[in-house]
Amino acid sequence: MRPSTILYELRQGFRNIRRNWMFSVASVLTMTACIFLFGIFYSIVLNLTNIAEGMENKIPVTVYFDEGTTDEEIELIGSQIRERPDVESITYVSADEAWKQMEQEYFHGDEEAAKGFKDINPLADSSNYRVTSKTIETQDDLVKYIMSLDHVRQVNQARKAAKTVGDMNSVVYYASMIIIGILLLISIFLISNTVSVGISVRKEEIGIMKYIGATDRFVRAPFVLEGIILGAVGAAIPLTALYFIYNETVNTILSHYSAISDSVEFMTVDQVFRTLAPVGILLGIGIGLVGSFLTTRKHVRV
Amino acid sequence: MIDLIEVTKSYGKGLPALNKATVHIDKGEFVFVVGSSGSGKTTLIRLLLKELDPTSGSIVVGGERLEGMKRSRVAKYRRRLGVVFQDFRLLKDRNVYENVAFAQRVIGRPTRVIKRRVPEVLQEVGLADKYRSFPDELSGGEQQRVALARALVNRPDILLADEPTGNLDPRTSEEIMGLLEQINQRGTTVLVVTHNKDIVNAMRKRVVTMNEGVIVSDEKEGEYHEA
Repeated sequence: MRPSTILYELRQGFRNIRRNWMFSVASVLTMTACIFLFGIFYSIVLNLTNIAEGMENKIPVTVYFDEGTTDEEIELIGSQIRERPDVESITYVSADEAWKQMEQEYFHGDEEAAKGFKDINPLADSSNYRVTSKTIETQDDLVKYIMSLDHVRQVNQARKAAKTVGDMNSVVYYASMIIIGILLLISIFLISNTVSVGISVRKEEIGIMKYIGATDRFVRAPFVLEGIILGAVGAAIPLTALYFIYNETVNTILSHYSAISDSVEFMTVDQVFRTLAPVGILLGIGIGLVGSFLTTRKHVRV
Repeated sequence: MIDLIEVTKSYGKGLPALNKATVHIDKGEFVFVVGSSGSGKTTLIRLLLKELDPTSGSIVVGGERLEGMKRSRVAKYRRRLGVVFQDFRLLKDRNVYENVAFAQRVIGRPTRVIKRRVPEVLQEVGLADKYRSFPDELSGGEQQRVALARALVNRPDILLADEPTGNLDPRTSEEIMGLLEQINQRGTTVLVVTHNKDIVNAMRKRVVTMNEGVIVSDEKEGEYHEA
């Protein structure tokens, strides 16, 4: 196709949009809602996945010992664990340290309540090793190995906590997929409707084109371009809005809710948009292309 | 140039719109197809435009067999034809120049060719000074000239005219027929479907007469016979 023909087709595409501006606006708004929701769900799913992975990697495996295990035996267990190549780090936490940590976490601001335990350590048998594996994939093997060691009473795995986040992630993922799926169908329908209105308005012109010898591709191109333009605009608007909203939301959470910011690491807006931007734009263009292509196939038979 | 061999076109039950029509038209001929309403004239044009397929028989135009022609080929085939209608079929939102240029744009001619060719053809039909006018600002005769310019701008081998003077007064009709004759003299095969008796009788061209889908007569330098 010659550049002048491509320009002509593009002009016709914009002309179609101008002619049926009300339908065009409706299509863009629906598409905007669809991609906006997609972006929100995508950001949530991405962050939940990230949090779950972070939890799996960061929260160590805790190794507890049988009652009455001697310091030498504990030291032996430590050295056996340390020998493993898949161990990233290992830290010993004595029963006193464990209680001090708990005091700080649970009785902070209520020191009077902690005084009830002044002379006893409720965590007397809670000295432990905190072991971090190099990769989450090897954690199960490591746990199995530690469990097989003498004097090991219990091993607590971080996976359980991570699994809870993971399960939540799945629910959000499937719910968002259903909602996005429905919105996608509505968007395709609306774009298709807009394009078919454009076709009926230009019926006479299409008839003349046919007599003159226009190819199917030439007749269809402005309508397909119209769909693509509507799709691209319908994607660009929510993506731009999401960029600022995401940034603002994360900053607000981090500055106002220190409890969350201490335990959870959000992905940066650039990390999220590295995939969300191209996926969103492609989704918009794809919806526009499918909606308009199917309609022109049906109505513009040359 | 145009060969119809035993062509029948039926739209359903009842009499066929075209019934075993056989006609041969040579390159450069000027032919009138006449007959009353429903005689099959327009069906003939639509078959030649490959807008319809015959129920039976064979149509060959410029060496191309129309039955079984691939869809992708139809557009290329139509570029060899020029067509004008009784109702002009101009685009009301475009001026004279744009209406004619549209025919070139549609077949992918470059802009520099369009800029050269459109004024040429407007000159040929006598509308060089009205290129900026819109269809609604023109008389019926002028609108038909624009339609003719659009049909001719791609230099077709064959010009099909379906009742080109149907909406025009006698004087303007004569002017349009004069233009068609000039076009024919330059080598284009012209086929005019009409029921304008005066014009047919005045021009003394080949006349194919149809009645109820059947070709009832085919005369060189013929006259309009009422069926």
